[in-house]
Amino acid sequence: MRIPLYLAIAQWALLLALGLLVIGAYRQLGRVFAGKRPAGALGPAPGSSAKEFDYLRIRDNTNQIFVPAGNDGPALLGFVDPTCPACEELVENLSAADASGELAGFRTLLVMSDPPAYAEISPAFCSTAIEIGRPPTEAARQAYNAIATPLLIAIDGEGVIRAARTATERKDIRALIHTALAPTAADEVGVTIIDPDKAVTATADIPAQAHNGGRVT
Amino acid sequence: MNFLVLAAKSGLALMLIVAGSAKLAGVSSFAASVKLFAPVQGSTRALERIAIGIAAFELTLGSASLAFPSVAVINLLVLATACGFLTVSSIGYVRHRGKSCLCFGGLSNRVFDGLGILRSVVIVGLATGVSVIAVSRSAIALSTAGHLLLLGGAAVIAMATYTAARGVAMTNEAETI
Repeated sequence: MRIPLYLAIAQWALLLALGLLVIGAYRQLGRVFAGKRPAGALGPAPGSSAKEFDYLRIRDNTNQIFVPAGNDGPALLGFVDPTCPACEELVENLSAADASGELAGFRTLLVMSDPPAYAEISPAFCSTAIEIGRPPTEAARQAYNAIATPLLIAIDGEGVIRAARTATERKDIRALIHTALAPTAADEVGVTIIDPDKAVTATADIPAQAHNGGRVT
Repeated sequence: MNFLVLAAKSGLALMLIVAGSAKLAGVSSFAASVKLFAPVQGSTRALERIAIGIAAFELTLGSASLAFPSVAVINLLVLATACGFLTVSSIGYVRHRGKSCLCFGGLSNRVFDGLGILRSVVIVGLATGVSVIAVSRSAIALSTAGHLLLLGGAAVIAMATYTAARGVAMTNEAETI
């Protein structure tokens, strides 16, 4: 029995595609097991330190610096653009969350890359009380791996990225707020405060932790 | 020539199957991309339905193109879809340059850029070739078993892609400390 040419080609193409998918899946799995992030992951890796960057504050045209740590609390950093309708939805929901007090205690900053004039024609961007900034270069976008917008990032009070995800709805915002406020695994294990005057031996054994606020797990 | 045209045809069909399945695995994210091109504001649910519709269309068209090579109208539909890709890449390049297109869901980091337009032009070229170059009927005359075999293969590829793309999406969602 003779097999039609197309069937032979299509079977080989299917086999090739399946092989490529298996290789791709194993590569992704390998990255996860090696403690790396899978390819295609959006936003910065949780656990990494949030980066500092300069920006122009749209409200008053002044240059500011976003300093992730030392804000006396957690921060929410959003990468949004007025030309992106999904971003407008996120800004509207963030404004509503802000108005209802859900963002109390959070340093919240929205970062846009469109020209500043675009913010003036977007109702959501015009009406929000949340601070909007525009970095002078793409460095901030690259540092936070903001390859797609809207991207919302939760940063804890120590300046550590806790979560990053595409977000538009209130439930997404609440999930990030919850993540930023939740204790880390290290916190849950238990914290012992070392009194430097009484625990000389312990601090000598673990100098790095002792200098980091005297916290040892 | 038969070999090249049929290889291009099966390649395009598989691309559609992979693209459709990957998009189905991350409907919410793809809906955000759809929203970039929506002429009017719509609810998230409506956008997700449109996103599911697009993904399902790509998956169905790819499977039909792979399993029923003798139906000429499918080649024209693939060509029309490729033209749609080119239009979306061009508009994306002008209006949303640098933003993620999520063309393959979470499986790729591709953004709207010049290379994306070039890729779309190549796809349109291949789809045009497949539509206009005639191949011998004996090369594409499949039995019922042949159709079923290729439909089964398309289903396996779709499930494998969905699983891989869902895995990436779940890793992204679960990545918190």
